[in-house]
Order: sequence, then structure tokens, then C-alpha cells
Amino acid sequence: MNEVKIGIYVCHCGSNIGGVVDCKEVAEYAANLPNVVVSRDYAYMCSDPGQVLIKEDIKNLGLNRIVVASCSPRMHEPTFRTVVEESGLNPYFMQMANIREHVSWITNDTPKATEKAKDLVRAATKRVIHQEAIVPQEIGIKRAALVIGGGVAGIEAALSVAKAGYKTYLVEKKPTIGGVMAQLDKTFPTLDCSACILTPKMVDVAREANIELITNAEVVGLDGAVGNYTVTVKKKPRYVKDDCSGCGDCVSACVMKGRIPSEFDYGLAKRGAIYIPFPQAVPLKAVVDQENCLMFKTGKCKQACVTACERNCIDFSQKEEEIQIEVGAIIVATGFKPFDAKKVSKYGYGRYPDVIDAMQFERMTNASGPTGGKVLTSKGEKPKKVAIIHCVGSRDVNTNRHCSRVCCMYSLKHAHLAKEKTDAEVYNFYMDMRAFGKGYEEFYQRIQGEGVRFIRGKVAEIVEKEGQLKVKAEDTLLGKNMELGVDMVILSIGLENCEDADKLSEVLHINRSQDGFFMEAHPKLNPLETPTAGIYVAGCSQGPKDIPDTVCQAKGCAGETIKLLNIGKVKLESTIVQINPDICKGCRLCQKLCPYGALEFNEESKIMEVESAKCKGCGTCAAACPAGAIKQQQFSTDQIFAEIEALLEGVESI
Amino acid sequence: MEVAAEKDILHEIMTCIQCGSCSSSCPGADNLDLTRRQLWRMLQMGLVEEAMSTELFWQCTTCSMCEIRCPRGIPLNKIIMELRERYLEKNGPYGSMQQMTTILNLTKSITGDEPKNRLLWTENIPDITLEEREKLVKDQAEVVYFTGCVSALFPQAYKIPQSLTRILLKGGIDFSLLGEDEWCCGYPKLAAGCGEDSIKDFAAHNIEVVKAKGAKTLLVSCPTCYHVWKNEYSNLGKQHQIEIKHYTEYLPELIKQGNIQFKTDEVTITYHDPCDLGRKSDVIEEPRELIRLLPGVKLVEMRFTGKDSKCCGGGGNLEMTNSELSLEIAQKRVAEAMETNAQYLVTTCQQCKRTLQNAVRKNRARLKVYDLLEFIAERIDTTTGGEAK
Repeated sequence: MNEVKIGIYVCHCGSNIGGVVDCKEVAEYAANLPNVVVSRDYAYMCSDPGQVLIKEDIKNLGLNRIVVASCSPRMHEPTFRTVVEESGLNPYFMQMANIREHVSWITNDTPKATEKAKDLVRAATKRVIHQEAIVPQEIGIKRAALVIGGGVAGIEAALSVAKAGYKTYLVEKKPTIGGVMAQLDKTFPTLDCSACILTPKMVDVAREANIELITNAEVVGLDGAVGNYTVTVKKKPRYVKDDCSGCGDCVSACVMKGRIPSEFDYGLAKRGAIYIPFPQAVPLKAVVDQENCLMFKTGKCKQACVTACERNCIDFSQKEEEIQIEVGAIIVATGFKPFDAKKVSKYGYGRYPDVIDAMQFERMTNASGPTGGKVLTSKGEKPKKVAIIHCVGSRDVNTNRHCSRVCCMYSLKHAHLAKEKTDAEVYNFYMDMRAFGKGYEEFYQRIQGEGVRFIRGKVAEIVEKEGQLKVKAEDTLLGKNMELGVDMVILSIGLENCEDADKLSEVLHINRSQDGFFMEAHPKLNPLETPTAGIYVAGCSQGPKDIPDTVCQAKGCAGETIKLLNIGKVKLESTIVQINPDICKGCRLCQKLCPYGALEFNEESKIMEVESAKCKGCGTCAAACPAGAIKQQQFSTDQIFAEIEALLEGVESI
Repeated sequence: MEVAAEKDILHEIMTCIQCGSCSSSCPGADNLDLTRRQLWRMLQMGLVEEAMSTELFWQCTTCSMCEIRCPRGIPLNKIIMELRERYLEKNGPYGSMQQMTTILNLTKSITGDEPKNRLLWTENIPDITLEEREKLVKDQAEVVYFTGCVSALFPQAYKIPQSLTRILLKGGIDFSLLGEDEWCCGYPKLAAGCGEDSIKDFAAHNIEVVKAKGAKTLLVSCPTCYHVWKNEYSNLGKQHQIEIKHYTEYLPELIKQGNIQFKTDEVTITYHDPCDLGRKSDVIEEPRELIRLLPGVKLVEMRFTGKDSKCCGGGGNLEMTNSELSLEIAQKRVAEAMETNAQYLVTTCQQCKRTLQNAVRKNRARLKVYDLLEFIAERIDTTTGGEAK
């Protein structure tokens, strides 16, 4: 090996590091370490002049190893690797020491911080000597995508990817796509009809040749890595053949007709055991509800549906099946679950029939809904007074701490609709009004102008007295407690992550943030990708959001997916392991420990082999191998020991 | 306007969003000059003196309804207690609290009775033998029954400890009373703002006398004594290995043994959760389980039950400082109970029973107010002597 010549670059990061650590002292200290040819400190190493400094030194001083002491490698490792590469060196001859997150951001003690920074720089300097040139492998990918969830986010994402020319699988758990948006009446702040703007998109999905729509199905398994995922999808039987034309003859014939609460109408209407979720459903095909169908419950039914179907589509012998699909990228768009208002017993939801939740009101005001769009109390009368309660199941340590981001605005919409349809006096009880989106503040003013009364106070409780619902709250702007008698209460419920979020996060190896929603890789700069490369997250499964934001995010995820599929290849992790065939004894201990199934036993040679595409470079096998046959690139034993020994220099005893 | 230091409990109010949920959750809401929220606002703005000049923190039963409904989870009860302590430090005892604390310090009971009077209630317990009566206070016992001041010293409440005594005797339990050795648990001093330190000697004494009997279990019929034994004594650093049980946690097992025969005629009751037992100690299912073990008894729940249960008006020394407000709160709870059309309003606290019964008289309501112990004792089938055949 040529003589090792190291250059050290200590970054001030403005005052981020320089305000606590004496960077000059660190650089001077490092100049005296073995093999160090040059050691400098500079205000912003990541800036253009900072980069040039390194390049010039490599050229003029013949440096062959670089240490940058700055922020976390998560931020600028790619930057400095590129600098080194552009100077003709292998990029893996660069090592970073994190003196920002690990030093300056966690203390104000300058002498101690400076000492720790020196320790970290020393460790990086000793380590970099042992670093080796790596040329990451590249492999081809499957140029297809999977979108999980067929709400507005999934629909938009799938359409974008498919229209870019890539095969797209759209997997939906329910028998139809459309999601919650299909159930809404109007959309804020423009008040355009939700179904009118969504259903053309749904039809597009059905028509798009590049989309393979798989409804009534769930993702249950995932294998592989970015670019090459194998996904297992469980398809529940529909008990209706694909030949179904959606004529609805079976639906009207079902003996259970009108006896099962309809999910689509939030229990306000009833359906049969064979049903079509709603008239614009995609696919427009009947489905049998196995839980309620007499054929499955008792085995006895006159099978009126079978008789009614002219195309002989009904098939009770269909079985659940599992299929495997291969894709390069995955977009998670599983949406949200509306908060269950029964959990807030003080409001009497489920006890008083005229305390309804926002989703029920959506169905009620919808012209194709169970009341034909009329807003009616349980007695079938128009309410004279309506109370709308914001933040039910939101912004509350007893339920969900997060803001639903939509209930202020949809409560305004509901106030408008209630007033328009009944001429009732409408009272909105709110904690804070959040009208942040485009056109939202204007909408708020418009609804105020329509005569809706806004009371700033969180409702304490609701009781029924003298045939009225009494809403108790403090009007905090007047400083007076009040008891308002109304005929109808609409609870503006919050948003929670989808029902099987925990199961899905396990299957996809993606995390959830404290609020329960799926977590993005970086809240600001990588908000669409999950920490698992090639898996993106869109819409309300990532966090509550309105339709415009959902669509933006969905299209963003589609863009990322298209970018990946378009390149057509991925670089493998630089930290993958290699097995030395001369040392490996084939004990197979590593195989049991590998969380990614990347290690295979070769029956012929009787030793282990690595499937590089699957290896994530976690290092578990390398640490466990009793023979020391597994070497992890970038984390070899001599590199790690050099680092540890350097850190322990000067420490007399522990 | 200084922001309270972070260690200061008053700092907790900084995260209040002024939503006013507390204001109208307060059982006394209709009778206060200011709303609860306005008190918190003063503290938030550092106007502690102004807050102290209001009556709001005395006009409080410490029922904690505001606290469990607070969307920010602020310990409002502790803040009320802090204000009481600061008031006392600055101005001395509030109203009649002076008399109460003096009596307590002197006699260790809230009535000022001498210690021997703590056993007066044992003198006319129905159907127990003289021999049994003489053995109510033993040197050693598995179980000690901590009677509490109200049950032991208010003739109106005698039936409660008497009932528990009868049930325990019928169940063949090896138990003892503390008799003259029992001191007040100390809660009235806490509620008066005397601070935790002021009940240290009460805690030490009570723990010592219970331990002296070699008891493993301490049985309590007063939810406030229960709360103080269970939570406050250990907060004071007085670790004891005694298992604290409210009778509703203890009796189901005993009754399931089937040694006691009950009447079977049908009655409808509603159950009032005491704040210290339900909301503050989460003993909600146990009393209901006990009720379900009684044949012929149908339980109808009120609109607000369990953790959501409304206050009887009898907590936080409010009865002493503002008896009118206390009564009005009780009247509202009775009105709620009347809506169930139950024949009995049953609770598990002698203080709730007293306040609710006063309200029933005031409302001229047709409702019998019982502690569950009295109710159980009354349901014992006397035609069989209560013994199972």
C-alpha cells in the first residue's frame, strides 16, 4: 500500500458546532496525529468553497484519505463522498466524525465538547487508515409498482404511475375502490360534489390497461428489497364471478335484504347479504358478505340470488387464495379510520339517536344517501337548532393528541349544509379555528357571514332533558357557562390510522410515529419515502390531511416511484457482507440470525452464500460467525478495532 | 407577570388551551362567580395574587371531573391543593377550617370526640352476641377494619360499620377494629391546605397500630381513607407492606363462598360512584360485581357513571366551607338518580350517602339512599338467620 496521507477538515457549521466546540483547537490537535498531512477548520465544509478546499488538497498534497468532522453522516456523507470521488479517489476513503448531533447540540460545555470532538476525530483518523475501496454492485429491478389502498390517494398514485407506462397493481381491502372520499357529500372549501370529482377517476382506474385492480384483498407478505420486492396478496372470495354485470338483480332478491347495516351509509341504511356497495362502485360487481349470508351461517337458504342471476355468476364454492406479485416499488395509501365517538361517553353518542357523527351527517346530506339528502332528526323532523362539536377524538390527551387537520373545515361545511337544508340555527363549538389552506380562511368568513354562531369552548357534556339535547360548555369569550338546547348534535370526529396499521407495519417493515400513523424517512426533506427504501407513503396513512394535500402527496409518491422505475437499476448497500469460502465451515448459525433471509446454504460446497440484493448490511451475521468468515464491508474487524482503540487512548481504566 | 418555575406545580397550567371544558364540567359550575378556566388564566398570566383573592379554589369538592376531561391532562386537583396551601401559609386557615384543624390536631378525630367514643357504634349491632362484641378489638388479626371518623362518630352513619361487622362475622373472618387506637387518616387537613407534612404523624401512627396487630390486609369502608392510605401515605415515604382494600374489593370472594343467604324479592337500584373510589382509584367494576351477586337486585345506571360519575357535593371540605353549594351539587345528582326510576340510590361511601340523603330530603324525593353495606345487610335473609342451608 502507498503511504497513507490523511487530510482532516473540521466544520464550524456556522455557530451550530463553532458556537460550542473550539474547532480551531480540534484542527490543531488533529494535525499532530500520525499520517495526517493537513488539518483545517472552516465555517461551512459543505459549501462550495469548503468542497473546493478538500479537492485542492487532494490534488496538491496527494492526500489519499479524508476525515470530515461535521454533522451526522445522514446529512452530508453523500456530499463528501462525491467530493472525494470527483478528485479521483474511491469515495469510501472518506470517513465522517459527527461533532454536531453527538457533541455540540447536546451540551454547552466548551472544554468538554472540544475534548470529545478531538476523541471522535482521532477515532475517525485511525479508522480511515484501514478503509478499503468499494465499488457498489448494481442490479436490475422489476419495473412495476404496487399501490396498497384504493382511496383517493391510491387512485391518484396508481393512475400516475400507470400512465407513465409502468404496470401497476392496485390492491384494495374492500370490495370497491373509492375510500372515504366516495362517501363524502361536498368538499371544502369549494363545495364541489365529492362523488362528481372522484368517480371519473375511479372509472379511469377500471379502464387503464396498465392497472391491475385487485379488490377484496390484503397484502400479507413482503420479501426482497428496493427494486425487487415479492409481495404476497391474500384475495378473499367475492362468491361472484368476474362475469357479473352489476345489474343488481341478486341484490333485490336476497332474503336478507334491508337487514344488515350498510358500511357505506354508516349504518343509516341497510343492505342485504349480497350487495353492491354503492351505484358507482368499481368494480361494479356484487359481493357476498360471508358473515351474514345464510348459506355460510346456516347452510340453508333458498338462494334467491342464484335464481335471479341470469349470467349464473354466483359461486359459493370460491376459495380464498394467495397470489404473489413482483414489483420494484410500493406506495402505501391505506388511509385512515374515523374516530369512534362512543369512546367519549360524555357526548352520549350511541345513547341519544340525535347525536350523530360527521360521517353519518355526510351520508345524510348526500342526495344519493339514505334520506335522499334531507337533514332529519330521529323523529323525521327538520332540526331547528343544530350544534356541531369540533375536535371529538382530536387534540385531547384522553383520545388522540394530534389535530385532525380537517375537522375545522369540514365542520364549517357541515354548518353551511345544515343551515342550507334546514334553515336551523347552527352553533359550532370549537377550541381554535385552523383555516390554513388555500381558500380556507375565506371560507370561514363566508360561513360566519351566513349566520352560523361560533362558540369558543370545548363541550363538557351532553344530556337529554325536556325532549332536547342540552349541550354544556363555557363560552370562553364571554366567560360564561352555558347550556344550549338543540335538536341535533354533529360530532366532528378525528382521524386515526387505518385499522390494521400494526399488522401492515410488521409486514412491510415500516415504522409508526407516536400518533400511530406511518412514519416518513425525514419529516421535511424525505416526507414521501419510508425508512425502507422503495416503499413510499401517501395520504392519511402518513398523517391526517385534507384532499388537496392527499392528492399532492400521492402524486409525489408516484413521481418518486417513476424515477426509480425509470432508472431501472439500484445500487446495492455498500455495507453488505462477504463470506470467505476458505474459512466458512457451514455451521449455518448466520442463516438463523439473518433478518432478511439473505444467506443460503450451498448443499454442494457445504458453505454459506450471500444473496447480495437481499443483504441490508446490518452486520448481525458478521458479529456472530464463530470462525470469523464473514466480513462486512465498511465495518471490518480491523476498522472497528482501530476506532475503538483510538477512542480508548488515554483512558486508564474503565 | 412571572412564569412559574418549572418545578412549581403551578407551571403545569402553562399548557392550558383555555377551552373551558373544566368550567362546565364542574359540578358547582352554575353557582360560581367566575368560571374555572378564568382561574387557570390568572395563573397562566402569573397573576397568582389575583387568583388567591378568589374563592374558586375553596369552592371545589376535589371531585377531579375537570381533570379527567382536561384535553391537556393538566393535574388541576394538585393545583387547587397548592393554592389552598399557599392561602393557608399567607392568611392562616380558611373559614371554619381553623376549628377543624385545631380539633384534629388535639383529638385526632374530625368531631373532637375522645378516642373511646370510636367504639360507641358497636354497642347496638343487631344480631351479634355479647361474646362476639367483646372480641371486636383483638391483639392480633389477619384483617384490620379501619372504620374512619364519619362512620365511627356520626350516629347517622353507624349502620355502615355495623353492617360490615355483621357480614364479616357471618363470613367467619378473623378481623379486628383499631378502636381507641384509630386516628383520622388526615385527609381533612390535606383538603384544608395544611400540606402533606402535616399528616406525617397521622400516617406513622396509623401504620404502626395496624402493623402491631400483625394484619396483612386493611379493610376500609370510606373511599377517602382508602385513597389516602393507598396513595398519600406512600407518597409521604411511609412504606408499609399492608394490602389496602375497599370492602367492594374484598366482599365478592366472601359472598361467593355462599355462606350467607339473601332475600330474593326484586328491587331496582342505581349506583353512585364516589369520586375517591371510582374516578381517583379506578375501583369501578368491583362494586358492580358485588351488586350482581345479590339475588333479585337490578342495577340501572345513571347517565353519568364510573369515571364519568358526578360528584355528590361532599368532598374537599366543601360541606364545611360552603354547605349551600354542597347541597346544590347533591340535589343535581339526586335528580339524575331519579331519572332512572330506581327505588334505591346505593353508594359505597358514608359521606356521599350523607350528602345525597340530605338532598333527597330537601328534594322531597322518593328514593332510599343506602351505603352498599347497609343494603347488603338489609338483604340478608333473616328468616333463615342469614345462614345458608
